[in-house]
Amino acid sequence: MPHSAAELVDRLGAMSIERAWDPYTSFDWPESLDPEAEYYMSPELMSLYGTEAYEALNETDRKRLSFYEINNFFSFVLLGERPVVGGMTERMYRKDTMGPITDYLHHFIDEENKHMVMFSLFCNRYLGRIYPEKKLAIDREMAPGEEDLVFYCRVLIVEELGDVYNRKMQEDSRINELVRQINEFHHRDEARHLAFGRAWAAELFERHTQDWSPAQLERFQDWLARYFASSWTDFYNPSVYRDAGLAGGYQLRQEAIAHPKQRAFRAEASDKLVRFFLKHGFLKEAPAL
Amino acid sequence: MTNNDIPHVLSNWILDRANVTDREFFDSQTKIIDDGLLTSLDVVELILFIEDLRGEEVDIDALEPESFANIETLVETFFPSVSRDSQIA
Ligand SMILES: [Fe+2]
Ligand SMILES: [Fe+2]
Repeated sequence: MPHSAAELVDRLGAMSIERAWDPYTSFDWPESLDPEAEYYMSPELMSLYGTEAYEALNETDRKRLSFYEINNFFSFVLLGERPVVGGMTERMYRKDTMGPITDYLHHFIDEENKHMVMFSLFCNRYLGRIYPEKKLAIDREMAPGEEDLVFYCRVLIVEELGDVYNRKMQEDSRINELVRQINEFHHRDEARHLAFGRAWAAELFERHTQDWSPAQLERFQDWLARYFASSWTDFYNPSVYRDAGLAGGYQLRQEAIAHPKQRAFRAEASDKLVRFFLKHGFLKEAPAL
Repeated sequence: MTNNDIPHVLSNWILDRANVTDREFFDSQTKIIDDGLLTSLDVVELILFIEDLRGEEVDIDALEPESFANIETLVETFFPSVSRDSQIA
C-alpha cells in the first residue's frame, strides 16, 4: 500500500535514529590505497565496460581504471548532495513542510552531511582531490511550484542512480572492502530517502501542476527527460580516463555514451525511476537515455 | 589545428549540437543560450569539448554564464591567445 509522505516519515525517522552511524569512526580508513592492487568498482559498473577500449585493457589497467572510476562516482554523488542539503534546508519550517515533514528533513540533511564527509574523506585521502563538476546554472522561467518539482526530481535522480550502484557494490566481494562498506552504509540511508522522496514528490506534483497550462507541463516534462539523460553522462568523465593513463578521454566518453551495451545498461538501471515518473505524469514517454 | 580554426570548430560543434542545418545566420555575435541554441545541460558537454581542445581542465568556479554568450566571449574566455591574434588581424 502506498503511504502518504506524512505517514511514512514517522517510521523513517525512527529508523534513522536506530541506525545512526558516524563517517569518522564507522570505518577503518587506511593511510593509502594502491590503485592497481584490486578492484575498487565492480567491473560491470565501470563506464567503459563493454566498449572496445575496455576489451583492450589488461587486468592491471582495469583495476587502475576502477580506482579512478570509484573516485568519480563518489565525487559527483558528493557534489550532487550539496544542493540537496541546501534545498532541504531552505524548504524546512515552511508552511507546507511544518511538522512531521520538517522533522524528517532534519534526518535527511544530517545523513546527507555524513555522506558528504564520507565521500570527501575517501576522495581527498586516496585521490588527493574531488573531481569537479562541469555544470553551470543558468536560470530559466518557471511555472508556479516548478522550482520545487525540479528540486525533488534532481534529488530523486541522483539518489536513484547512485543507489543502483550502491546496491550492486555492497554485495560484491571482489572489490575493495572499504568501498564495499561505503556503498552499504550509503544504501541503508538512501533507501529511506528514496521512499520519502517518491511519496513527497508525487504529492507535490499533484498539488503544483493542477493549475499549469499544457504548455507549462510539456516544458517541464521536456526538461526532465533531458536532465535525466544528462545526469547519466556524469559517469563518463574524461579526467578519469586521463588519470587512469588512457589517451583521448573526450573521445572515449563519446564512444562509451553511444555504445549499445552502455545504453542497455542505462535503460535497465533507470527503469524503476522512469516507471515512477511515467505513472505520476512527470514524464509522458520514456526518455532516450 | 591552428589557433585560427578555433572559432570555426566551436561554431560547428554548437550548430551540430543544436541540430541546425541552415547556418547562414550564425556569426561570432549570435547569442548561443539566449537564442535557445544551447541549454545549460548542453553547456556541460561544451565545457568538456573546450577542455579537450585546450588540453587542460577548465576552472568552473571561475566561470560566469556570460562567458557562454557567443563565440566571441567563448574565445576570449577560453582561448585568449586566439582572441589576441584576431584583434591584430
Ligand atoms: Fe547520500
Ligand atoms: Fe540521500
